[in-house]
Amino acid sequence: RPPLSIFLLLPPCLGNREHNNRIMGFLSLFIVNKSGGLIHHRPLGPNAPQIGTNEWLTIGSTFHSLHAIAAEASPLRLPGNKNPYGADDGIEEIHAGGLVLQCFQTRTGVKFVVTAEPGTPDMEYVLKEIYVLYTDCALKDPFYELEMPIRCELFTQAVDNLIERVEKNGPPRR
Amino acid sequence: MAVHSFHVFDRKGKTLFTKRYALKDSSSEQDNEQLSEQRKLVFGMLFSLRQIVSTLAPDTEIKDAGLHSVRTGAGTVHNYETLSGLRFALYTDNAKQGSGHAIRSSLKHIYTKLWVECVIRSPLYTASSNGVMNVSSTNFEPQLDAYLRSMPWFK
Repeated sequence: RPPLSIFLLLPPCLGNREHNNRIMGFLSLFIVNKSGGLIHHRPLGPNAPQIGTNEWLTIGSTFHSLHAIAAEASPLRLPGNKNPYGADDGIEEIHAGGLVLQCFQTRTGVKFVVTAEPGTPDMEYVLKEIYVLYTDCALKDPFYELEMPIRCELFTQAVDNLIERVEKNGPPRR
Repeated sequence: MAVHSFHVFDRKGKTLFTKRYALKDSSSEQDNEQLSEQRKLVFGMLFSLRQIVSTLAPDTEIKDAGLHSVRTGAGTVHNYETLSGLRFALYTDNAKQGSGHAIRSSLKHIYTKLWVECVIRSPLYTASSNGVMNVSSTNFEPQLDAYLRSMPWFK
């Protein structure tokens, strides 16, 4: 992986993929279990950075700690430190140069994190859908052990299909 | 949208300036030590998140790189960092989302027009990290208050 000091200058037409006039820039997905261990990571699009497995593990556990620290460092507190979903309060969204990160934590402490380029629509929908796919493909798999790395082909395929579907049509309008 | 606190950190993590706003009910009676611990958490979090974010970002050239804001269920911290490692952090609640750009340009204004003018150009300014810079002896705080209160998103 090239060092971060080498920035590749991509022209906008290659940097932002446009599909039916929707700028799609999903980058990566990673899932962290309640102890902070990384149980899944994968790229979601072509612009995703190449990150080695060890570095992914570091990112997972560091994010897990910072997720909780963010709630403690804030001068404001939610009642009982719980958000409306019943999960502990923590990082929900991060905006940075060239990156938007959204995190969804379940009541059981599993964190789903999706990163994307700024301006990518429907991030929250994709995040929630990935959680639904996790319950359908991983939790209902009788051989899947909780908190262990997710190696379900069904889950990988379903996430592929989700991204492809959202890129083409956007989220279903109810 | 209410501003709740404002911190300025140097490159090493030392607090150069801090102020709390908008405490209608001062039920959270935190003593100085607790507040200092909380500030260390803020700095550490912003520092570590910056590293994670630069790893996760795509490999294209970014004009305004670095961490901009972090939102939790309770509130948002907006972060502006200069090349010299000076860090400005502003805590607001989540009432009006989408004003991130306005707040970021405000933080930039606070640095260039208020901090540089009042603190760095003050004859009492010490550039070394060992020297103790007494920001309260400058005009920074009243100017900061006046500026923030003039902002449409400040309550």
